[in-house]
Amino acid sequence: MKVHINGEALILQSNDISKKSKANLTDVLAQYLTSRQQKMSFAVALNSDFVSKSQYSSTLLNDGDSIDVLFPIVGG
Amino acid sequence: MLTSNEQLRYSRQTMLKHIGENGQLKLRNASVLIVGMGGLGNPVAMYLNAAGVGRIMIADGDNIEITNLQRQVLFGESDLTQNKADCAAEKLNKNNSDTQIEVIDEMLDEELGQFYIPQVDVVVDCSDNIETRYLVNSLCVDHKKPFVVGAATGFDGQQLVVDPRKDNAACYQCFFPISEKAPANNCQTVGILGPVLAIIAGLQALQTIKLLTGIDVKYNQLNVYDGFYNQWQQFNISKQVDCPICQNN
Ligand SMILES: [Zn+2]
Repeated sequence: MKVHINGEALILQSNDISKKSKANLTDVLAQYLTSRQQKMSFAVALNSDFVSKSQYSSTLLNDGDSIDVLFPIVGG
Repeated sequence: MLTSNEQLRYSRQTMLKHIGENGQLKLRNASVLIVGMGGLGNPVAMYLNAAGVGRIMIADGDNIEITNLQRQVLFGESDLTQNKADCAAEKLNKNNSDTQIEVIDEMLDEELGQFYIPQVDVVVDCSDNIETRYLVNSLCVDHKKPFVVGAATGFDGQQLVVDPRKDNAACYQCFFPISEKAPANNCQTVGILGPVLAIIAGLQALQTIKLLTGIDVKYNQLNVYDGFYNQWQQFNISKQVDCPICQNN
């Protein structure tokens, strides 16, 4: 399955999702973010709508979905 | 009533049907707190001052350094080592004698925030650190004051409006919960181009003018600017039930 994350195509590795019919956001974030990044503050949007942290594992992805991982910008 | 001088001075904005003379009076009677007088604070203050916002409080404890001049366009070579809020007030007074500028020559902390935020109509976040942003966010939610957030580094910017007067409004922490590890980048570590700040600050000033004149402003939306590819993206959010800041609001 292919999704877009921050504009780049990401092929979801099948071993992460073989037990399930569809990947969820937690699977994708585990593949995309470093462990350090996972401890940082970030927001995730699926097709431009924000998803709560508590909903990551229950949010199933479809082929072609667009995911944005946003970190707070600090600077002025 | 506007004076005849004011009618002429602000005519190009009062001729807009959504502003009018009534909107100009609202601006004249308004007060705004700008937190941070750096690359975002400079243009925000310049535009609000030029537009005739009656009372502008500016808070910054930093002094002007040579590395600021590339983007902090109110300041020049002769201003080095001066306090940013002090120096900005002097320049803003020269540009518009109708407005009143109040200087807070310290970094905004909880005590100062508790004192000043209840006095203003809108708070504009132009700070350069996330701790201040979280603090101001929480104080604005407590005091139900609209809060216009802006931030930029490199070619990238983010902007959003938090409006705690609305029951369903998300706050900054709904978007970005406090985390174990602090964000990695800031202007000191990754650099910044001046015009990126101008774009985000221009949007902040516009949102502030709209809030002050009673024009609808979209909240629950994060505006993300990518100046490298010249793209804007909008992300929608709803108030988070488990947010520790807006839970009780
Ligand atoms: Zn919140």
